[in-house]
Amino acid sequence: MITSLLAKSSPKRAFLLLALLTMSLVYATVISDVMIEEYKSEAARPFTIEAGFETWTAVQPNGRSCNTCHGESLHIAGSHQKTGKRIEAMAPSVNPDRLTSRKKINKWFLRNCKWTYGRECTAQEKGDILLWLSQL
Amino acid sequence: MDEHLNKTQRVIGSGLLGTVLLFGVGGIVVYGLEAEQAYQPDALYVEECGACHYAYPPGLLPAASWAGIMRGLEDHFEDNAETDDETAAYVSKYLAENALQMGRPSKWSMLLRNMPTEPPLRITDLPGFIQAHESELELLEGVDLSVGFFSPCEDCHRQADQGLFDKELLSKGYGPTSR
Repeated sequence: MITSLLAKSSPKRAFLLLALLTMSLVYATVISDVMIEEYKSEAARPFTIEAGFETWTAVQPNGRSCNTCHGESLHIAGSHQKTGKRIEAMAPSVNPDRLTSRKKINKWFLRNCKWTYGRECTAQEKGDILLWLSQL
Repeated sequence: MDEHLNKTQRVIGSGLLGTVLLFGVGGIVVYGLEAEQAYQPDALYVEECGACHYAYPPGLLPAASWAGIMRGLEDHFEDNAETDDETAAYVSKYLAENALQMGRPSKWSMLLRNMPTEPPLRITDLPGFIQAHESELELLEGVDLSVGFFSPCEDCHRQADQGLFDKELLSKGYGPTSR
């Protein structure tokens, strides 16, 4: 279908198609989009980037936040608070591996929400966070 | 005469060729055998455990310690290291099968020295480990060592990821320089 489109298309259309393909390759974190969609049914209000940022950065009574390990900027690597082990950048724009595996997203939500908030995250929180992260 | 010389040459030639082949093939076989013994950590183990810390070779702790660690992943030395049941079962099996054990050939059998009946959970708490690092502990006496100073093996043992902890390979200068 793509080839037939390209064959028929004018240079302008071909360029547009190419741009779309490139964009989808760079920004598509399809899994996270699917998961955001799934969380919607359990969430009370629509997900927002702002709420995601708030949840990510809010310092808990135990002094912890997501920044404790991931660092202030998600475009550069962070480090584990105790072992110092490097944690690669979270932003998909610099680290395309991020948000591409459902198994990993679930694993780290479980571990890190429990460590940071002392409980599992709600669908609302997870959706907000995924939305915020996916556009970084 | 010519024929005799040729015969001698043939004998010498065959001898040389034979020797070269013998040493060459022998060398490759020995190298292969040794390479097989090198530490090749399980990929899933490294992914699961190596994300937060150096993926300690299973042979550094007895099976009882690993079992204790795997039972308490929800509070893993004040961190949460929970994982799904399937992964946990796989990692547990891998650790048990490759754990430090009496009678199992190991480069690290010194860690078995004075092992208590109930072995500690931390490698750094093994009497054998403490004994092996006695001189470092002496050198660092009086220095305020934060908890976990010895945890990142690779800070000093730069080839730890290949399971090499030999004294001869130690890098000059100690401490957390790789962070």
